[in-house]
Formats: sequence, structure tokens, C-alpha cells
Amino acid sequence: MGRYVLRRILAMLPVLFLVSLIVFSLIHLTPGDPALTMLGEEATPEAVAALRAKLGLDQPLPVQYLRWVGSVLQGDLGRSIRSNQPVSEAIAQRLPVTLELAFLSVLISLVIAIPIGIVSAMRRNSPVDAASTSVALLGVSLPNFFLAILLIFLFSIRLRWLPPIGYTPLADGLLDNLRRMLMPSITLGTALSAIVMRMTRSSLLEVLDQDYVRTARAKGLTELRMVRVHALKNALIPVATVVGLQIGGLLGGAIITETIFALPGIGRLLVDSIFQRDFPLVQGVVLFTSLAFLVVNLLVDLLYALLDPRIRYS
Amino acid sequence: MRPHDFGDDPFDRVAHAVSTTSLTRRTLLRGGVALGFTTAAGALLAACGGGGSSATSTPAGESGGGAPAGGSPTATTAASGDGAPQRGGSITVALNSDLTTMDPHKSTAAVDRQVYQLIYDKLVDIDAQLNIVPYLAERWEIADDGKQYTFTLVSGVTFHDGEPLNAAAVKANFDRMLDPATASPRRSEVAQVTEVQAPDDTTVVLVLSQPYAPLLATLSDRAGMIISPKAIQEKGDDLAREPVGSGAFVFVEWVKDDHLTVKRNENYWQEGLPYLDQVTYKPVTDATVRLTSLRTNEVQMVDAISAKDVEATKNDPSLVYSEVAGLAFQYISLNSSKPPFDKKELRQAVAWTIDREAIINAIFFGIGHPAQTPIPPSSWAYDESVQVYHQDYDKAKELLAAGGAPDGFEFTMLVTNTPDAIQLAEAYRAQMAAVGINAKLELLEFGTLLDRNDAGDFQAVSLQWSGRPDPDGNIYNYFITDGGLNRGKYSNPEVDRLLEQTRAVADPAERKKLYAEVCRLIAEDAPMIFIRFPAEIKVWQPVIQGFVHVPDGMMRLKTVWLRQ
Repeated sequence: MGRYVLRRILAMLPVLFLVSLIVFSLIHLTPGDPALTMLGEEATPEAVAALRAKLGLDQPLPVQYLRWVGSVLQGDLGRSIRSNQPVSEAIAQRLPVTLELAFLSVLISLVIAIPIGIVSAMRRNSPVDAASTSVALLGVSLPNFFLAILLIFLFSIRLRWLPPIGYTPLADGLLDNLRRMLMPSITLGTALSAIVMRMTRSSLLEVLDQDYVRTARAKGLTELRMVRVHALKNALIPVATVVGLQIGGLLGGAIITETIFALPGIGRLLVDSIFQRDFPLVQGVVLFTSLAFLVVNLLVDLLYALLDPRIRYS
Repeated sequence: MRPHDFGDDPFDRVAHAVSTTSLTRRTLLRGGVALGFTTAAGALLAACGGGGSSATSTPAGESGGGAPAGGSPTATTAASGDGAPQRGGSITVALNSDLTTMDPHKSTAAVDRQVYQLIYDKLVDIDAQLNIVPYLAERWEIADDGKQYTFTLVSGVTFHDGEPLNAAAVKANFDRMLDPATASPRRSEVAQVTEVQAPDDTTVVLVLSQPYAPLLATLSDRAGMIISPKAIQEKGDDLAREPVGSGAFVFVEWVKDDHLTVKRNENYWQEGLPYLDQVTYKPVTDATVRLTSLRTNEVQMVDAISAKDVEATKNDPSLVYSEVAGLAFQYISLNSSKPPFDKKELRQAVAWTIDREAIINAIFFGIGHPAQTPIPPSSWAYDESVQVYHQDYDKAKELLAAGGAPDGFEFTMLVTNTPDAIQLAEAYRAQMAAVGINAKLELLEFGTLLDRNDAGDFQAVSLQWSGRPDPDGNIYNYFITDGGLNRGKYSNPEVDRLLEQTRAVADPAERKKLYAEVCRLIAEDAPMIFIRFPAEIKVWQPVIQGFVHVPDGMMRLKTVWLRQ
């Protein structure tokens, strides 16, 4: 197990190296000079030249890349060229928001999706199944921004129960924090729950067709106990994969949801830095979210072993 | 101020209205009627109020008989007449994007300046009629040749770090702006300043290489904001996150994309100010959500709302809506150095195809003022008599024939890829198509578009300029030969001569005449087609009192207080 984890971690290095190369090349090849966007149209040619020199942008690209990678290897992601804030600090500031949002929306999706998925599989082709399938379809196809606006309209404008925007850190009060995180989490959780529900249903159906399930039935187990004890655990492996991928994605930030609810998460950090051509920030955030994705994937793989004792890593 | 309000959702701001006055029922009924309609500003504003904008007047405005409410500033100030200002309380203000930096010498985004108004004091300020008024400089003298400005500073001002704000501090700020190593966008704004002297603690002398009439207006913005010299020394680039000024509010914290907080400066030099204990800014980029958070009182004031929301907001008795003529203009720039627009006739042909009123009505919900020049109705230099183009397809066809393209021609127009900008460009395209002029729209992300524009790599561009308090900032660099903003390489020796004169002459009346003359010449040459003057809009909760709405759109909150 330990060796397996070590091997997986070592395997991340070439991936991260490639990511660094790709993000550096892409952002530097994108039209739009940071010096020019920073100076706007107040940019005289000499002001642009001076700023480019100050930011080190007048150096050849390979030199710039090596400088950046060199400092990243020493644990320094650099500083924002706009606010001069260390990139690692900018990410650390946003991380709690993104982590909480990811956690809550996954939680909401699991609480909704797993029971409904089980019931749908057990009552296959029943009205319950049809209803939950329709709701799932709706959940998948409803765009985030639309659902978000509907929620704001209902809970903030009509009922006045929840504040429409902003973030309160957990440390400043759990209740206010949750009041502000609820609508964003529902927005993200709804789409996610639709996917998880469908995955639970189909995966459970597959398991229910297996021989050992027939044996268990023959032993006279109730349907519910049989699902709970025998089938569900096995059926959850594909579900775990899907949820893992989604968490990986959520750690990269939920740009639209964060924008609508004015949450200071990783997604907005990335988008803003792209528009401002804040190269060090873009590079740092992409590198970080890639790493987060790889780590989550590793954790999901390790989770398989817990769900299914037959899976062993050595 | 940054040109196209980059980073602050340019086309959100585009979506504003012009007309001419504050149209709040509250402010109008109370303030406007009380204070009468006869101020100079009122007359000027009324003069340009006819036509397109009348549709937007509220009943209260129309009751003014064509001179609605005598200019919002007075009207708005009067709204504070609910008794004496009271101290205390906190407010939250929604901005349409987050700040980029807290360092005035580095800033290029318009939104940055909103917060600077509280943290920094400026040498001079502008009032609601765009007059220059004293601030840190209690008075100033301009030498007869216009090449020397002597400022007398208010004494006893200290920065938030306890350092004295004196002439040496002002000099240190100019030295930093003018130092090429700082790479400050301010440098070109004060390029005429060759020497800064500080003969004693309260006297600052600026020596200019040539007369520069817009200098004072420039010093009412970031170039005139004074940073603590000690902080400049010690913090350097970190000033971007840890500002130290002398303003009515002291910086507390900035969590990017979440909030920025400032608190009352207990030692502020202006007696009794400010009234509020704390101001929190929240960046809310989505216009609908911004308005929603105002309605739910999550925030008490918003900067900019969408044109589509204006009508509903005006009719909402639980909000105060204020609209004044702004500084900005929207335009199509035609590249005079490249075919097809190297032919004057073809530029003019395009100019004759545009129906400004139709665009304002269809796209901006009837709010807005048609533009013939780059100088907006808020300016003392605005001249209603300069009327050059309206939609006339016959004229356009004649000019097409004269330009050697009787059946029309094709060109590419660069457009920012936001829905509002695209919608506007589609309207241009439809109007041009009637005479066979086929505009192909090339949609670009804003940074990319700036790149292309800067390189002169375009036939036509559709954009907006956020505007400056002095007319010079809306015209000089755009149209002078080789000007910093003259991307289409337009050149007319007569225009150059007149523009130089507008800088050398100090008398506003004479400058106004010169501007009218040069605007006619520019319109005739049509290197740029002026479309619309957007309005400056703010909306707030009625609890907010004492806000003075200045055309530059900056929220100067030190006079604001809360009705208990």
C-alpha cells in the first residue's frame, strides 16, 4: 500500500511538469500583453517597455519558463503582477471557500441521490423510477446560472430567507456561513445529484442481476437487507469514481456559481487572473488545481480498496 | 481612470443612460422643486435635454417644463435635508468588479478609484458641475504664461501612519510618478511637469515645459492623490495591497473578490467628517445579482445597473435612483491609414448610415444622449450646436459613389465578445447594410482586442471611452497626429493646431469655442463616429443621505450619513 501510494505520487511529477509547460505556453502565447492590459490605453510605448522590463517579460520565453519552474521547485509560486500578493497566499485565501462549497454540494447530492437511486433500482420501471428519472434529467439539463437565479428570486427576493451574495468565513459564525453557502451548494449539488442518482441506479441494477444476489435472495433475505448488506457496497464503486471526478472538478472552482453568488473561490481567482493577464497567478492556480485533481483521484483509487476488499494495492 | 474600464465590465457600464438630470422622484420632488431650476448647470443640461432623452423623464422631471430639476447635484445634495447629518453606522457598497490595485500610481481600472476617494486625499477635486475646487491645496496660482503652478497646501494634515502631509510629501509623490523605473501610467498624465519644488512646508511649485490647461483636472484624479512617502519607501510594490493615504477613511483589509473594508479616520483634518464608521465594498460582477442585493438591503448602494433594469428601478419606491450626465462616450473608430477607410468619403458614408436615436431606443431602453462629438453634455465645453450627422441613406449613397464604391463595400469591425457589445454592433451592422456596406464583426476577448487596437491592426473598432473631467482627456490624444490613443493614424494639421491651442488657452469660454471648432473639423473628417453619451447612474437605499452625485461617477462617501 505504502509503496503503491509512493509510486502514484512519483507518477504525478511528469504530469505536473507537462501541465506547467502547457499552461505557461498557452498563457504566454495568448494575445494580450500584461503590460498593455495593466497600463490600458494610457500606455505610451516607453511606459509599456519599462513595465515589461520590470515584470521580466522582455526575457526570452524559455528563460522566463525556467525562472518560474525554478522558483516553483523551491516552493515559491511567485507574486501577482497586479496586487503583488504571493500566489500561494491568494490560493490559500480562496481554498476554504472552494473546499466548503465542494464538500457541501457533494453532501447534498449524495443525500438526495443515493436513496433515490436505490429506490429507482429496486422499483425499476415503476412510477417512482420514472419520476426520479425525469427529475434527474431536469437536474442535469437545468443550467447552473438559471437555477441560481431562480433560487435567489425565491429565497432572497420573495421569501427573504437567505442573503443573495457574499461569504462569511466559518470562524465568523457557522449559521451565517451556512445561510450564505446554502443556495450555491444547492445549485451545484442539484446537477451533481442527477448524475450520481443515475449512476447509482444503473450500477445497482447491474449488481442485482449477479448470481450472488440471486443466492442471497434464495436464502430468504428481505430485498432491503439484501441491497444494504450485499449489493450496495459493490454498486458504489462506479459511483465513487464519478463523485471523485466531480470533486476534482469542483476544486478547480465553480466559476459561474461563484460569480453569481459573489463567492471568493478558486474559480473566480482563475478567471479574473486570465482576463488581467496576471501570468504568475494563472500559472499558480492551474498548477494547484491540477495537483488537487490528481490527489483526489488517488484518494478515490484508495477508496476502492475499502469498498471492495478484493481490490488490493501493492 | 482607465480607458475602457477594463476589468470592470465595460459593457455593463455601457448599458447606462444619459439624459441629463437626476430623475429620482425623491430627490426631484424634494430637492429640485425646492431649489428651483435656474442654475447655470440646469440651463446647460436642459439645453441638451430635448429630443431623445425626454422619454426618460419621470413625471416630476417633466413638470420642470423642460428644465428638469436644475441639475442633479443640487437636487441630490438637497436630499440630505432631512435634518442634521448624524454620525455613525456602516454601509456596504456593491462594485461591479474587484479592485486591481490599491496603488494610485499603478492603477488603470476605473473601479480602483472608487475606493481611493475614501483612502486618499487629492490636491484638488471636481464638484458636481465639474468645476475645480480646493482640497489638499487650499488655493493655487497659475503664472501668466501658464507654465508654473504654485499650490498652497492645507496645514496640519497627517497620513494614516502619522507622517505629516507637507510639500516634501507631494514632491516625493511626483518624483515617484515621473520616475521611469516606476512604470506608472500617471507619468504620461503629468508629462508636462519638468520640475517640482517644495520651498516651504505648505508650498508646492510645479514647473511645466509648456502650458497645459487640463493639469488641474488631472490632479483631481489619481495623479493628484498623495501617498505617505514613508509607505512609498518601506512598502514599495506592497502599496498595491497596503495603501497609506491621508483620506477620511483608513484601510482595514482587502480579501480579493470578497470584500474591502475601510474605517473612519478619527484624526481626519476636515472637522466632523466623515460621518460613517465603516464602509465595506463588495465586488458583485453580475448586474442582476447586484441589483437584487440592493433590493434585499444586503448592500446599500450600487455602482452601475443594466439599462434594462433602469425603468423598474426608477419605479421602485423602496430605492433612490439618481442619474446625471456622465463623462463617457461610445464610438466606432475607423482606421484612416488603411483601406477602405483611408478614403474620407467612405468614412463619411458610414457616418451617415447611423440612426443614433433608434439605437438608443432599441438597445438602451430609450436612455442615452446621441453623440456628435467626444465632449459630453456634462462638460462646460459641450456645444449643442455641433450637429453633423443623422441617418441619411441618400447622402451615404452619394458618398459611396464619390469614394469609388457605389454598390457599397465590406470591412471588418472588432467587437468585444460580451452580449451587450455584440448587440450594439449588430445594430450598427443592420443600419449600414441598407446601403450595401457590409460590416463583418470579429468578436474578441477584451485583452486581445486592446492588443489589436494598440497595434493599429484593425479596419474598425467599436468601443467606449470612460471619459475625463476635462474635455482634453476626451479628445486630445485621440485626434492629435501621433497621439497616444490615435490608433487609426488620423492626421489633420488644422486639427493639430487647434488642439494645441486648447491646451495653451486658460479661459474656459475661449477653450469652448476652440473645442466646437475642432469638433466640427473632426466630424467632417470622420475618423471616428460618435454614437452615444452614456449616463452616470447610482442607486441606493433611502437610508443613505448626503451623497453628492458627480459626473465622474466616483462615490465620495465622506459626506454620506445614515438616517436613523
